[in-house]
Amino acid sequence: MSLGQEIGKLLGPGDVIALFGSLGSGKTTLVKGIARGLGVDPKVVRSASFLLMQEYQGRIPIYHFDAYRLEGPEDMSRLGVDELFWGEGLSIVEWADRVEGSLPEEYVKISLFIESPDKRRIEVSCLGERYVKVLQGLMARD
Amino acid sequence: MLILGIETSCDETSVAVVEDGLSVRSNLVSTQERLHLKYGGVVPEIACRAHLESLLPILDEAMKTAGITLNDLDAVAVTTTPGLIGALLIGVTAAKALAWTLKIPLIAVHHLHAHIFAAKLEHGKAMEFPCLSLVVSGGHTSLFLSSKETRHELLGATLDDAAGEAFDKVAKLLGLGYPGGPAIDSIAREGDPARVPFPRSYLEPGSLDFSFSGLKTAVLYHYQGLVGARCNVPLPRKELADLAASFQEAVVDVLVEKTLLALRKYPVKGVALGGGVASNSRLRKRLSLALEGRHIRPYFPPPALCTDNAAIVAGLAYYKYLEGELASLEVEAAA
Repeated sequence: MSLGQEIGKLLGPGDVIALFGSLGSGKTTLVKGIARGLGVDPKVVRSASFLLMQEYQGRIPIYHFDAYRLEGPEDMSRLGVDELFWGEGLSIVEWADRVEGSLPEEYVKISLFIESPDKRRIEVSCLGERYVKVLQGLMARD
Repeated sequence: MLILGIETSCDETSVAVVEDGLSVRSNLVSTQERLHLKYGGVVPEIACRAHLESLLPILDEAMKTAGITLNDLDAVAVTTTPGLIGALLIGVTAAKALAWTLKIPLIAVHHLHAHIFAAKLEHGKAMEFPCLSLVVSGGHTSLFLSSKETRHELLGATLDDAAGEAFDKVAKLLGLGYPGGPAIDSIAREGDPARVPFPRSYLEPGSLDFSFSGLKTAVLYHYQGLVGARCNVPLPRKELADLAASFQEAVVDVLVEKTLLALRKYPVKGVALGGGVASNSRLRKRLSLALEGRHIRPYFPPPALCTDNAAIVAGLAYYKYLEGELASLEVEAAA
C-alpha cells in the first residue's frame, strides 16, 4: 500500500503502469496504494476482473484495467485503451503479461512475486526516459 | 399494464414481458456461457457481438410467447448500470429505439435493484418491506436495506473481489471449469467443509463490507502445497472436493455472519437474496437455517431468477412507473 502511494505521487497524466504477477500476488492492493497517492479513497478500488476497466477520480483520473479475462492484445485494443493511454489520466493494467502487445513503448513495469504467504518481492523497472523521475523518486525514498 | 424488459449487462441477452409487475408473460434468456467456456470468463468482444446477434430474435420470441405484438406494450424497461459498458449499450440503444418508435415511456433500471426484485417476483405480496437484501454475483457482493421495491440503501459491499469472482477464480485454479459457482457447488457436496480451515475475513468489528481476495490467495497456497507435495501429480477427486467444500464454507460463513450482523443493526423482518451466487445450495441452506431460528422470513428467488434475466427488469420497472420515475431518451449506459 505505502509503496503504491509513493509511486502514485510520482506519476501524472498519460503515464502507464503495467503490473505483472500471479493470482494473489497483491496487484489490486498495490493499485489501492497508487490510487491513495493520487487522492482516491482506496476503498473504492476493487478488483476490475469482472468489469475489465474501472475509472476513479483523483487528482487526475485513474483508469484501472484488468486483463484477467482477456485473451490477448486485440481484446485490450477493443476496450479503447489507446485513447486512454494517451489521455488525461494514469492507466494501470493488471495481468499485463496477458496483453503485453497492447502496451505503449514506454511504461513503468512492476512485477510482484510471492516469496512466502506474508512476504512479497516487488521489482520496479521503467521503460522509457519519461519515467526516470519515478526511479529517482523511489530511490530518494530509501 | 404490459412492460417489455431488456437485459444485456453482462453475458446474458434477455427479453421479457411482465404484466403489472408480477405476472411473467415471457422471459427468454440466451446465454453465452458456451462461448465463454473456453476463456474461463466473460470476454467483452464476444459478449457485445453475441448480444447484437441474439437480441432481435429473442425479442420476437418473447412477443410470441407472451401472445402479444409490439403495439400492445405500454412501456419499455432496460438495465442501464452497472455492467460491461459495450454490452449495456446494445440493450439501452434497442430500448430507446423501441420507446421512440412505439411512443411509449422508457424506464431505466439499476442491475442490482433488479436482482433484489427477483425475490418479489417469486413471493409477490407476501414479501414485506423493509427488508435486508443481499446481492451476490460474479461482479458484486452488496448488502442493502430495502425500504420498498424501488428504494435500496447500500450498507456494505466487497472491497476487493466479489464472491462469485472468488468462485470463478478458485474453480479455474482447481481445474473445475466455468462457470465456477455451479462447479464448486456440485463437487463440494462430496467434500468435507471442515477439512481445511480457510481464513474468514470480517474486516473491522461492525463492518458490513466484504473481502474475498485473501481467501482466494489462501486457497492458492493450500492447493500449491498439496500439488507440490505430490510432485505435481493431479489431486484425487476427494481432495478437490474437500478443498472446494472448505472454500465454499468460508464464503458462506462470511455472507451469513454479515447478514446476521446487519440484522442486529437493522432489525427488519425479512431477508431477500439475489444474484447468481444466490442459487448456491449451501448458501441457501445455511442462510435459511440461520433466519429460521430468528423468525426472520427468507425471500429467496428460484435459481432461474437469480441469474441475469429481463423479467426482474420489467417487474421492477412497473413499480418505478407507478412512482413516475421515467427515463428520457437521452439516458446513458454507465459501467
